[in-house]
Amino acid sequence: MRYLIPGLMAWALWPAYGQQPSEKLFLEVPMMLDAPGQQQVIRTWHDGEHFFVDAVMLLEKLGFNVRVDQLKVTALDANRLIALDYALRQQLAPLVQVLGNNLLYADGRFLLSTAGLERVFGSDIHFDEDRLHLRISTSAQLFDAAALHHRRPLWAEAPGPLQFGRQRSLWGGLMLNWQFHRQPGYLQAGVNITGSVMAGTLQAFLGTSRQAVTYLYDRPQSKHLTRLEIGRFADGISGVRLSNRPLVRRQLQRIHVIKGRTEPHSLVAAHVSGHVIDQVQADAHGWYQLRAPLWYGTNVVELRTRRLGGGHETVRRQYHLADHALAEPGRFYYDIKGGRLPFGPALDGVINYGLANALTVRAGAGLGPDHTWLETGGIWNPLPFMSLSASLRWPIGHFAASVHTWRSGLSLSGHWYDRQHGGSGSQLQIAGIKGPVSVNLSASQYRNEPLWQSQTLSPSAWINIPGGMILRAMWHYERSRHRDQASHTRQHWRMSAGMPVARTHTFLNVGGRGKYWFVGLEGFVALRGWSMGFTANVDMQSGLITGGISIQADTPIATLAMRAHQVNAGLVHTQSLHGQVTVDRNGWSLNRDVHQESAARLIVFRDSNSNGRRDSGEPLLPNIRAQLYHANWTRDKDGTLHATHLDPFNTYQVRILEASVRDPRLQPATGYAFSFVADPGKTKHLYVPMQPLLQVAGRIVNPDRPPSRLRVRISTDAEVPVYRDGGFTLLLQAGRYELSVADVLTRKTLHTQQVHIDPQTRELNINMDRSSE
Amino acid sequence: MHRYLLLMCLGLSAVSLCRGQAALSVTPAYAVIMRDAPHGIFTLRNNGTESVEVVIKARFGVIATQDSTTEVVLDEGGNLGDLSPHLVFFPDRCILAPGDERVVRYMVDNAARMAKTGHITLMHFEMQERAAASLEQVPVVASALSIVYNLVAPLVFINGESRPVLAAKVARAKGRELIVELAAQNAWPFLGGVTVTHQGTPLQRIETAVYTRRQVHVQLPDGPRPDQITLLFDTDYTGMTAAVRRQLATPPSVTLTLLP
Repeated sequence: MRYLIPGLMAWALWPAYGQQPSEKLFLEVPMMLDAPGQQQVIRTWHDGEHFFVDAVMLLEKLGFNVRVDQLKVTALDANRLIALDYALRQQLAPLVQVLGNNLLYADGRFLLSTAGLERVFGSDIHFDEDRLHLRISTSAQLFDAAALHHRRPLWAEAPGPLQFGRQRSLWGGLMLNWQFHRQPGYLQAGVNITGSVMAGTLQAFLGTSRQAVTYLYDRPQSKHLTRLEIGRFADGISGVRLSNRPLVRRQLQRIHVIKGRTEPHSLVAAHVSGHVIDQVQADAHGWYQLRAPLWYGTNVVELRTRRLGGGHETVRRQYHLADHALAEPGRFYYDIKGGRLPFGPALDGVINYGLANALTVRAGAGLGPDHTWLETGGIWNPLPFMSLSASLRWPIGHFAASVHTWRSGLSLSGHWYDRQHGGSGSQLQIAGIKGPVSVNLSASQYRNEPLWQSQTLSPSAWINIPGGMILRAMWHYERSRHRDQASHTRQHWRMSAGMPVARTHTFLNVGGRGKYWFVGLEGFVALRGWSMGFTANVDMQSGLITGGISIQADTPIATLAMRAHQVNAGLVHTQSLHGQVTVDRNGWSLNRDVHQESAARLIVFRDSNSNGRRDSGEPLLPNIRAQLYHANWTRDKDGTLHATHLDPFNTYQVRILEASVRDPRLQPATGYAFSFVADPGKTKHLYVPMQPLLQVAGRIVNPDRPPSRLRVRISTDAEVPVYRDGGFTLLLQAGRYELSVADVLTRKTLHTQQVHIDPQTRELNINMDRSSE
Repeated sequence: MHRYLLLMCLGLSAVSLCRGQAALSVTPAYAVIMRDAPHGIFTLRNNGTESVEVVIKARFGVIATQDSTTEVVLDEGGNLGDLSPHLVFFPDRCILAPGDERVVRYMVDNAARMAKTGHITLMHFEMQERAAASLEQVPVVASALSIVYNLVAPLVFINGESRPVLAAKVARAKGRELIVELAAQNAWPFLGGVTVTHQGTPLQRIETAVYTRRQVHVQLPDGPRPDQITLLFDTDYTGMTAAVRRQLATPPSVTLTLLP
C-alpha cells in the first residue's frame, strides 16, 4: 500500500536519455523553489537516480522570456541569453559547455538535471537533495533575482480595504492632556488639547509659559496640500500655514536593501515589530539580500538566521535612521507660514527636495519685522545607522551641523553650531552597552567670546553582575569663566553598589564634592503602581545629613509625583500631577495616559439581524483575536481590543484571525483584513459585525464548457469559483441577486439569472442549456 | 456498511498523463473537544504542484479493528454518539492553489441538548486535482478523469466527565508477539498510552485510540514467558493538548492471564 499510490502517480516518459532510447519510469516529485521571500512549487521528476527540473518552467520563474523552437530552448532576460539545444544536448550560450546527459527531452518536456542546473547557474542555485529544495541566491549573477515572480505580499504589506476612513464631524471629541508642576518659586501648568471638531482638528497648547491654538484641516491623501492650518502658532505667528508634508509622522520613507553574509544556505528573515517582512536563503557563499521598509524615525530590523538543517537561531539587530526631514526621492515638500508677529507681518517658507534615496536638500527664506533670512542645508544618511544634517542661515551667519548614529549597543549624537554674533557651542552624547557593562559620556562646550565660556564633561559606567548586583560610577566636571573673572571649576564623583531584594533596590553610595566626601544610602521600592525612593547622605567632615524622599502614585485617573529634598539651604518640595481627560459622544473618561492624541477600539459583535449595526441583545464576541500592524492591542475587561497612543491620520491595518471565530456560520462583514485611519482627538470605534450568512449550494446544469473555466459573479460585487462538478458555494444575506456565469478565459458573460435568496434557500441551479428556456 | 481504506482510497483509476502532483495535508490529524470549548479548526494545506478542490464532509464512523485490519468504519460507532448532525463547519468545499492554506472551522451546535456521552464523527477531506482552465479541455473528459483522495480525521466530542472502561483479551499469539484486542465498554472513547507491565516492571508502551475496538501488538521480552501481564492506561497521546489531557480520565487497569 505504501508504494501503491506513488506507483499509480508515476507516469511513463519515453526518454531519450543516453544514446539509445530506453523505457524509464519517472516519478513526479514536487520540489520547493525557495526564492527571495517566497516559496514556489516546481515540477521535477526522479528516475530513481537523478532529479530533473522542467527547464522551461524554471527559466520562466527566474524571469526569462523563454522561446521553444523545435528542440531548442532559448531564454532571454535584460542582460543575458541562455540557449539549450536538446538535439545536440548542450548549452549554447553564454558559453559553450556540453551538458551531455544532463539535458533530457521527453513527451514535450525539456528537462534539465540538477547536476546540469549547477553547471548552468553555478552557485546561484543550490539543490538541497535532502529536503528537495532549490535555493535561489538573492545575489545571483546569472539571472535577475529581482525579476522573480511576485511573491504574495505579507498581510502587513498589503493593506486591506479601508473600511473605516477619516471620520469628520462638527463635534467628534477631544483628548485633553493636563499637567501641573510646582517647585519653589515656580508653577508650571499646561493643557495639550487635540480635538476632532468642525471636520478638522483643533490643536492647542495652553501653558503658563506659552500658548498656541490652531485649527487644522487635513487632506491626508493629497500630494499638493496636506494641511491648511490657521491660528496662533508656537513661534508667535498668528496666521495661516500651508504644507504638503505628510501628516503622518510614521510614514514609509523608502525600501532599504540589507546585504550581508552568513553561513552558506542559511535561512535569513527580517522582522520588524514582531512581523516577518522578508526572508531569503543565503547563497552557496553565504551572501544574502533582504528588503526592509524604512519608516521615518528609528527602525529596528531584527535579522534572524537559522543554519541549514535547523539549529539555534541567531538574532542580530540593525538600526536604521530615516530622519523626519528626509523626503522621498524626487518629492518636493513645502511648508509656508504667513501672518503677523506683534511688531509686524511675517512670512516664512521652507522647501525640501529628495535628491536621492538618502539625501534631501533644503532651502528656505523668512521675512519679518525683525528677521530676514535665507537658509540652505540638507540631510544625508551616508550609512543606514547614521544621519548627518547641516544648515547655513544668511545673513546672520548661523551654521549648525549634527550627527546621529544608532547601532546595536552604541549610540552617538553630536551637535555643533556657530553664530556670527552669538557664540558657538557643541554637544556630544555617547552611550554604549556591551554585555554587562554600559557606559555613557556626555560633554558640551559653549563659548561666547569675550563674555563667557564653559565646558562640561560627565562620564558614567554601570556593571550588572550576575545575581542582580549593580556597580555604578560617575564623575562630573564643569569649568566656566565669565568676563573679568577667574575661571571656576567644580567636580563631583560617586560610586555605588546596589542589590535588588524582592521589589526593592538599595544602593550604598560613596562620593565626593571637591575635597569633601560623603557616604549614603539610596533605595527604591515599587508596589502596584506605587513607588517610593529615598536618598540619605552623611557628610564625613561636618556630620551633616542630607537626603530626600520621592513618591510616585499611578492612579487610574492621574499620576502624582512628589519629592522632598534636604539641601544646605533647607527642605525643597516639588510636586507634579498629570493625566488625561477624554470627551466624546459616548461621554467622558479620565485616565493617566499622557501625550495621547488618538486611540481605537475594536468591537466585534454578533450581528444577529445582519443590519450592520449593534442592536440591543447582540453580544460582543470577546474571544476574537486580531493583529494590528505598527501598534498593539490590549484586551479590556469586556473583551474588546483597545489600542492607545496611535498616530493621528495614520492608516493602520487589522487582521482578524479566522481561527479565533468560533462559530463557523459567522463571517465578518468588514472582511478578515481591513484598514482604518486613526482620527485625531478621539477613540475610534471599529465595529465589526459578525453576520450569520446563508450558505447556498449552487450548481451549473448543462455547461457548454469545462466548469473549471467558469466563475459565478454575484451582482458584480464578488465572484466565486465553480468546481469541477459544476457546483459553487454562495455565502450571502437574504435578498435578491443577479448571478452571472462568466468564462475566465474569454471573459465573456455566458448566462445571467435573477435569484431570490431567503433563509430557507439551501440549493439553487443555473441551467445554461438555452434550448430549455 | 461501507469500508474505506484508512488514509487514501482510489475513487477512479483512470490515470492520464498526470500534469501535477496532489499533496494535501490536514492538521491536526485528529481532534478531541470538550463541552467547555466545543469548537476548533482543521488547517488544510496544499503542498502539491497543482490546484486542488477539497470537499469536506462529516460522517458518523470510527477507526476500528475489524477482521484483524484497522480501517475506517462508517455509520457505526459502538456506544459512541453520532456527532455529525450536531456539527456545524465552514467551508464545506474549497479550492487550494499550490502552497495555499485554508482553515476549516467547526463548532458543536446545541451541545447542551446532546446525551452526556462521547460523540464522534469522521471529517472526510476529499481532494481532487483541479487542472488549469484551458481552451482545449473537453467538458466530459475534464470532469471524469481524476483521482479522488480521501483524508480522514476523527473528531471526538466529550460531552461530560469522561470515564472510559476498556476490556482486553488476547486475540492471537505468535511466538513472543501478542495481539491484544481492546474493547470500549461504555460510551467514552479512550485516547492515550497503554503500558504493558509484568510484576510491576514496564515492558512496552503503545499509543492508541479505542473508539469501539482496537488491536495492539505487544512484544514480550526474551526469557521465561510471563503468565500474566497488566495493562496500565494514561492519557498522554501525541498531539493532544495538555488542557484536554487533564480533563480525560484513565480507564482502570486490566490484567491478562496468558496461557502457556
